[in-house]
Amino acid sequence: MHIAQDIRQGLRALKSRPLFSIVAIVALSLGIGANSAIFSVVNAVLLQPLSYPDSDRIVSVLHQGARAVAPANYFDWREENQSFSAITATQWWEPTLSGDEYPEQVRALQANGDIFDVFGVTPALGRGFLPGEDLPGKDRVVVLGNGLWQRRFGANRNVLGSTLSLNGESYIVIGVMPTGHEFVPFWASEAELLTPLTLADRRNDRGGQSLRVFARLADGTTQERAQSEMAGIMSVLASEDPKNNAGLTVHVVPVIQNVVGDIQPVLLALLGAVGFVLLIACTNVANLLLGRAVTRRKEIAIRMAVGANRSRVIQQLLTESLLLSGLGGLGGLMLALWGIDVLGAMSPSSIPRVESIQLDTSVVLFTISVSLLTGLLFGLIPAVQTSSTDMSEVMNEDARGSAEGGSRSRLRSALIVSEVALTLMLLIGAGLMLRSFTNLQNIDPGFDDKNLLTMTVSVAGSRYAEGPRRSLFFQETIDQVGALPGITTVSAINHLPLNGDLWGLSLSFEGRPVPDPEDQLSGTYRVVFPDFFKTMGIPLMAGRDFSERDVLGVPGVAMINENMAQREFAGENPLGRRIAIGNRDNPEWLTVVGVTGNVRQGSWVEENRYDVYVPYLQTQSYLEEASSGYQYMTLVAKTSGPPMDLAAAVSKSIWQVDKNVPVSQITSMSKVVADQLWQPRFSMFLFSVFAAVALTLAAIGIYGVMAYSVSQRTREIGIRMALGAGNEAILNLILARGIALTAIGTVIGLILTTLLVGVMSDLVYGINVTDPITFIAGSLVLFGVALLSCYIPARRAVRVNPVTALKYQ
Amino acid sequence: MIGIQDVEKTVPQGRFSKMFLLRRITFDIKAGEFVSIMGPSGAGKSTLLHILGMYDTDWNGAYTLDGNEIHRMKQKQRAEIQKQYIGFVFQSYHLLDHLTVYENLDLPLSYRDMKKGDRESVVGDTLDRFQIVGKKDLYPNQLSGGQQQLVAVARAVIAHPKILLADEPTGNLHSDQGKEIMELFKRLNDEGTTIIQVTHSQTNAEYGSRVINLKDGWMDDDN
Repeated sequence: MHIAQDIRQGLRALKSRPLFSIVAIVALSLGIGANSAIFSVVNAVLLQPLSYPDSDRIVSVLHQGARAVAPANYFDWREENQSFSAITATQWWEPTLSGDEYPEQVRALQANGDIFDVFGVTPALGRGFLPGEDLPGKDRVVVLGNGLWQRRFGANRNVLGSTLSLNGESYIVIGVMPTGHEFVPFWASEAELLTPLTLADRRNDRGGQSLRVFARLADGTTQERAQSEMAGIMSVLASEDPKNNAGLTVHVVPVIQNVVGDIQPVLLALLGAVGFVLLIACTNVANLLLGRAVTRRKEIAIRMAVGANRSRVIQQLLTESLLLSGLGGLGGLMLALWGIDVLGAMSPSSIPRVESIQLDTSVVLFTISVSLLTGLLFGLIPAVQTSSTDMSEVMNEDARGSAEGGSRSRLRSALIVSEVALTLMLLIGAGLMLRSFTNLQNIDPGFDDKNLLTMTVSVAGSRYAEGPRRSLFFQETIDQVGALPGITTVSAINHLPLNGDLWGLSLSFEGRPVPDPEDQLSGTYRVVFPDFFKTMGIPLMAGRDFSERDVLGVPGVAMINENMAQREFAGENPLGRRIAIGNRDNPEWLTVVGVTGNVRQGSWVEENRYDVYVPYLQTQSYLEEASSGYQYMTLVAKTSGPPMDLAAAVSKSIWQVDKNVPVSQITSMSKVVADQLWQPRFSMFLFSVFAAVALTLAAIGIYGVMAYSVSQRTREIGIRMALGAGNEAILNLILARGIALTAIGTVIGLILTTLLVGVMSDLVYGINVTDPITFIAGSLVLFGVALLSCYIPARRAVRVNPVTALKYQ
Repeated sequence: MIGIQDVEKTVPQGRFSKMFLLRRITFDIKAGEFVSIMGPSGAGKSTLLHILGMYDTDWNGAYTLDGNEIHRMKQKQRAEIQKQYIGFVFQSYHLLDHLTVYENLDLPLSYRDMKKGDRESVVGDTLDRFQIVGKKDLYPNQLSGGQQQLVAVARAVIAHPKILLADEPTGNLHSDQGKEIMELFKRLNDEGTTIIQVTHSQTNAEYGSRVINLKDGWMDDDN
């Protein structure tokens, strides 16, 4: 083997043709770098196991794959199953943490059952829950997340045994979790503390679906077996209690799928797109190598004349290709380093595991593998072609400088055609993303997100937690904030559209029979203060807004959205009609007093939801119930300037009412909207960048082939001009080949795109993936760029001096 | 050592006819001979030399080299024989531009899978023998034409071929340099290397012991 010698000579050969080497290395760096950067995201987000022991055995057990579970169903699952070695039910909780320092609303989790066995992680300090600590009276213990322990308790190891106050109740700290541990990996991954969940008084509750159930598969049990067993149990429960369980299914899903499910198709599509970019870079470099092969025929012939056999020549040429791809890989790694920073900055925290995106060993190994593969891919065909040099022909002194052969020229043309086809596929992909994003941006969410400040205020644990004082607090807070300079209007809602819980409660209509459970209509339950619609810019379509007179003791009122009014009261006036929320058997009728515009409540693209708004001051549960779920509201304030500029003043104003009330989730409504659109924006941006890189590479490729063709045909052009060919004829002569290659590539690209574009159907909104306008626009852009790439060499051909050209050779 | 019997070489001309570059060439060359192939341009001299060097494989007739029937061999076998027997010197040197003198000399040895230590010793000896030690780190474009051809000859003989083929070896050199190269050939021939050169120069032919004349592809005479 003579690898060192081949490398040394290869490096020198690259150095002797700097322009060729730089163009090839830059093209490869772009292709490999883009792949490494996207792979780093795929690796961190999709491929790495979750940070729990044997995390592939942890599953979520939820209704319809995503919906919460009622306590009675959870207990039945727990008692009847044979598939799980441990099972736990968890519930979201946002208590007010108070003590020596400022009050703070913390994100927390309550768990019933074996949460530490399910996730296989024990506290780094202290202990987990003991059996029986999820029973009433023994449940006042808390395990802290590591972040909260450091932030709030200064990482003090003596915190064990101390007490802290959650919603005014005293809890003993029994443990602290390790750094980076998430109590559950999705849905409530930001929870900072864990307390036991007492369900003793809800053992028979099948209606209140508030639990997320997780389990660990028993040894020897597969997900499929667990799914089958749970489906059997669920069908028995449905037959025993059709009222609550009819139509409910249960899905046993590996938690990794819950974590990455939404982002997976986006990342895989992006990985495909960068794969195309790399293929385009490879065809470019292969084309450069083929072009260079003509000038190297003499060298190869000499090598063979002094004894090299064909495999040695191929080895030498492949070594050079691998050197190129290696240098491209190095450049790619540097680009990836930068790209990872950009991706990290671009990616909102809602991408799971975004913080672990980094240039680690896997990414480096991936880059090395891709570089090697790339070197072989673009180097092999030119190497085989070049090594088949006809020695006798080259050795003949008269044959020096002869043009490339027909098969090599055909191969170069084929590479250009494939480059054009691949680029068109990316362009159309980017075009679809762009149009989809425009469609999404054009969606009217039903409110005006400009200059809207929002924050969550909880009275849990404060002196305002009880009964009538609660409403006094919120009313006084709204008055205080409303009086601030720069605040136009202010109000509050229980759960903010697009950023809060989505309580769906069953609806009843006066004068209509009670429907079967499976036909039961439900609506989004929103509890608001007066002026909410005005503050949010939600149009009032009919009737009136709530007022201070809509209080307990006067007939109950409600407002509904336009969609519900049109569907349920088609051709009638909904105003004055009566509806009930929740309790079907003993309805409390509310008179519809107003109809509002439709608002995107759950997600940006979700339509046709029924929304029911009720006045806070008339809602018993919010005014009096002790459950912490009723003790917080989200304040919305319309500002005259940038909303976040007033965040501190608004918080201060709230603390003037009571300094012990925590204010959290301070954000602007524009940010809430932006978070809804991050995924399409992320896809569109990256697709556009990749398409632009592909287009640039294709343009360079086409230019290279055409420029080479012109240089090869200089003598022919000279003769034609000497015989009287005009500029236009020469221009057409050169352009014709470029246009023909682009046209063939475009047709092939259109056919391939039509065949493959289906994989994008889940990624676009409001547009058919075979949208003809996008296809035509992509083709036109490509054609325009290709034409320009051909035109420059063609112009050079026109400037050929026939006298000089005829001396050429 | 070399037996050529009725060797013919054609190239296609149009769709249905062919043109003869060599017709019924027949001769023998004994080991240690110094043969010059002469004739006007287009006579087929270089074509014949390329056939002898096994760079051209598309011909008819019989070619025996040291008892090996080249015409019956497959390409791979011919390549092995070529490595073992043939060294080639070109009119325009054909040194590899991006390799130093040392590396150009090393190349044939590396293609013969010689170990690095052995190669170093052989290249060192050859640099000494051709008195070009001082030039070993220079690139071809840093040498004069004569020096380049000297290196090309050194490269051609470094693997100790039994036959040295040379195609107009002094064609690109001025007379003093040409004389030096021809004296070098003479010395190599005296040391036992069989030399076959293509030349236009009567002076160069006089360094050899025999001349084969070609004309229009035919052997004109052999003396």
